[in-house]
Amino acid sequence: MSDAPHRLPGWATAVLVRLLPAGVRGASMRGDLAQEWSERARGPGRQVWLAVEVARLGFHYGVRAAGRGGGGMEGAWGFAVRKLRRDPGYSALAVGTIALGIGVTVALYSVVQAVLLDPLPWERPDELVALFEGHEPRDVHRNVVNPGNLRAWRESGSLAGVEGVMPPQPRIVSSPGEPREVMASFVTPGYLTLLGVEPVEGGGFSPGAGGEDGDQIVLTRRGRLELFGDVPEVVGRTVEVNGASARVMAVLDDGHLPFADGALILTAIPLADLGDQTNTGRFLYGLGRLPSDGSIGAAQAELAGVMAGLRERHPEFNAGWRVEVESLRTVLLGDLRAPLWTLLAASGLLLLVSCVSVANLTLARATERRAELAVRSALGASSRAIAGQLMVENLTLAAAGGALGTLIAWVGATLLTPQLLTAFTIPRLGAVGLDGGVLLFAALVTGLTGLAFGLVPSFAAGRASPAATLRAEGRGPGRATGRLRSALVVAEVALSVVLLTSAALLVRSFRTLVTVETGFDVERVVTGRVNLTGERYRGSEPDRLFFTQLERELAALPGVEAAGGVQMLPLDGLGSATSFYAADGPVPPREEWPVADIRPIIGAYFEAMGIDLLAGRTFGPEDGPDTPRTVVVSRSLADEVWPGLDPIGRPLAINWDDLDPWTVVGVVDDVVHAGMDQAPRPMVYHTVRQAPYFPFMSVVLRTRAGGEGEAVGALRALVAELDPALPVTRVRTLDDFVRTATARPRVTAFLMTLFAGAAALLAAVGVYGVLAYSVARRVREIGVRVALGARGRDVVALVTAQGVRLVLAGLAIGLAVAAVAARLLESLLFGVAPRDPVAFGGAALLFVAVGVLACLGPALRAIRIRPVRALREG
Amino acid sequence: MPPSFLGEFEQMVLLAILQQGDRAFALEVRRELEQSAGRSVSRGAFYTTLDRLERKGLVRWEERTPEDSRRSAPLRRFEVTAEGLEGLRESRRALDALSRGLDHLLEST
Repeated sequence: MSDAPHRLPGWATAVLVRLLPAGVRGASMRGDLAQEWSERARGPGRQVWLAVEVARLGFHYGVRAAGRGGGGMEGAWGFAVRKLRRDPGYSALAVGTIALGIGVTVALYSVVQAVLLDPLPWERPDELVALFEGHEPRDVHRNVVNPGNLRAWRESGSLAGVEGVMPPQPRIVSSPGEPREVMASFVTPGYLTLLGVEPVEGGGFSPGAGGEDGDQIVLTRRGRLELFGDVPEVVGRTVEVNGASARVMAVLDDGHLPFADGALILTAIPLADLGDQTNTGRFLYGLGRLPSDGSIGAAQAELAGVMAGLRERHPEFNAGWRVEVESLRTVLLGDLRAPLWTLLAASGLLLLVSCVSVANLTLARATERRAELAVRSALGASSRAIAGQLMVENLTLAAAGGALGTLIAWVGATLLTPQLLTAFTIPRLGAVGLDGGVLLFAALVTGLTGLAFGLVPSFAAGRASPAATLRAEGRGPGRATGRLRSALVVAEVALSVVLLTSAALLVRSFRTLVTVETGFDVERVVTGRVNLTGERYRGSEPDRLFFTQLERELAALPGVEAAGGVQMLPLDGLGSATSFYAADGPVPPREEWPVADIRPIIGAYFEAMGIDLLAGRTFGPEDGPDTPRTVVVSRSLADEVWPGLDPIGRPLAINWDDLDPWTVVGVVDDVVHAGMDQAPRPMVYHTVRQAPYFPFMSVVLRTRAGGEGEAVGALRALVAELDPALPVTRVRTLDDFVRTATARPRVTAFLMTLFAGAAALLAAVGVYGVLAYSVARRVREIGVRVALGARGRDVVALVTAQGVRLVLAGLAIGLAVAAVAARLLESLLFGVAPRDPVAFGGAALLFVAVGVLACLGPALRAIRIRPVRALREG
Repeated sequence: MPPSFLGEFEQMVLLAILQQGDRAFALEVRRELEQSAGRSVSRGAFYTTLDRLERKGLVRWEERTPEDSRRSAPLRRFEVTAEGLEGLRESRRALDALSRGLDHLLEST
């Protein structure tokens, strides 16, 4: 003990002085620790050792000693549980509030973890890249790829693997079983190997699949069930897909398949068989694997060199096109980050509000229990023991809240997941659920919650002196507690205002989105798809015949006001597009040709959709297979190509089969196409009689009121009459397409509103609690005021002013924070500025209203105070 | 006369204090326990046991302030009281009585 003074670092002494028993006993304990401290070697290890020792002593004396009298740890918990049971109203309110916050946060975290945090479910997923083509002048990015270009990229050896995928298309399976439509994707034979997906049955495609090894397919589990039912062995069996027979090579576990999501069948097709720059367009998604030592930048640079060569070799096809290499993760999940993290952050704010709310409640209760605590204190319980006791009570509440919250999260995640998966078109990366990681998160959040709302009241109670409290009995507690509670309410209001403004912004953005001029009218419109498959429809002539026949019969369907069809409905996917130019002037350089979407239609499509004809005419009997080719164009195309001129009768060269011009006979209004938040694109319509192009058609029926069922039945009968093997599939209302297209902002805005509403409610309860309490405390003062002539109005003003002050303070802070937070929302907003005055003003007004409502109860109680009774009782 | 038998840990603490004699400061006692009994002793449990033994009147302590350092904390030097000694003997007798005739089993080889 001769060496130097044994002194602990200041922080340790500060903590220990609070925790350890007073007097020599505590001092000597610190001395022991100081001596051991001085004997240990300097370094971070010593600091860690000390922190652990202090924490252990803190636990022993702060928490375990709290239940002394009951004796030890079990005593402390038991005491807390007994205490909480005796006050079921308070306990239920506190547990419920915490459970709400924890439940919402954990539920969203489980989604975020499954979707954004868990690794993609493939072998070394960080090496996987998506390959696209982009066209700078046309501002086209992430465009599908030409098979010839993809093959050149593969052969350059810049990547460890390159494969192609075609997005799922409906195909008809005619054997085994009845003919039916099944979603299927074409993939190059190395697709599964590139991903490292192991089939659960069979081995996968052979390298020569689709070529010399014959047609091969792989089924997902769902596909296996759909096609074969419970048959024990399916590998090696044959399936008729679109009239061709293919061998089942393997069965995959259900799960996410990049760019082939929703496909039940994968059909192998060699890249070489898909065509090249000279005979086909761009239609493949490219998938690649970086070399183990490669980077996206290096791959991008190498492939850009390859692409430069391809531009030189095929300038007519590749001029202006570049290669784009992006991490698969970014491509699949990039869009989801902003909304999901925003919602998680919002749920975190709600949790914070519920913490503050329970802290407030606990503080109020500690004040009500001041007599009990003072007596315990007077009987020898140290302030430390009392603070510890409250802490144990709060931790008990938090634990109960956490358990209930986790249950809520489980139910919530179960209910929420399907919604979110649909709304966000989330690829199902591993099931969303409460796994170890989520439970750990829940435990962590619960612990932090307990500390967050428990610390304030514990220390406030621990500080109060028993004598002062007992003296003050009847007059209420000190001002300090009142101030603390007011501060908590201000915090609650501020946090709620942030949530409310965010919700208001998202709701306004959503409302703007759904009022976007779609260019069509969804009322009483049903759609159904006809997909021509089988031997009968080889080549384009049978397609033309079928659709022409269908067109003739459609108009006569019962219950229908107008009927038509289009190959790809608005908001139903991208469809086909190509470049074009006005053929009444000089031919512009190829890379400057604008791009338009192309839609073959039948019948009274524009009337059925409610798309306005602006000039000229729509197609009629005069536009036949042997008459000059005609097109109807959209307004934006006409404005772009012939600004200020009459487009009717002008020639348009379309880069499709040939460049022979088509004649514009009509102009129709623009329709939204790729998404509600995307500007309409130039569109060219032609009649299927002059070029069928694709063997499928979405029929559109504008029905008479209540005639939907009848119309769909009649359509089915009609198609069956034309070809009994063809089903009408995907029967949906047009409204459904719009709803799907707006599902993500709707769900985001809805959840945000839910959180904001809950937070606002908690804040209102907080304001009410503080005021009610203040009125109860000031009964005598108010009594005196009334006795001296104060009128009811004055009393109400007195009480309300206090509440309004709290609300205004919270509002000011909240609006300032929200102004900053709104910037983070920017990417989610459509047509609304991040500092939209309506959203901010609305949130502010709503909060003032909430504040006034919360003041009413206490104010009414205050004016009922009778001076005589108040004075007698006080 | 102690009201009840001593707990195992209490006996060990008392014996460790006796072993340390007039050097029986808390820290030394705890170290003696850890070395002789080969068990790690939680600081909190150790102090709580000392407090309990003091309440039962089995140990007492005196305050010593180290002379060589003005700013050091006071230290407590512990002593087993007569009651404490009697308690230890009592426990020992009971143990001896129970162990009689079992030497062949209990002697370490």
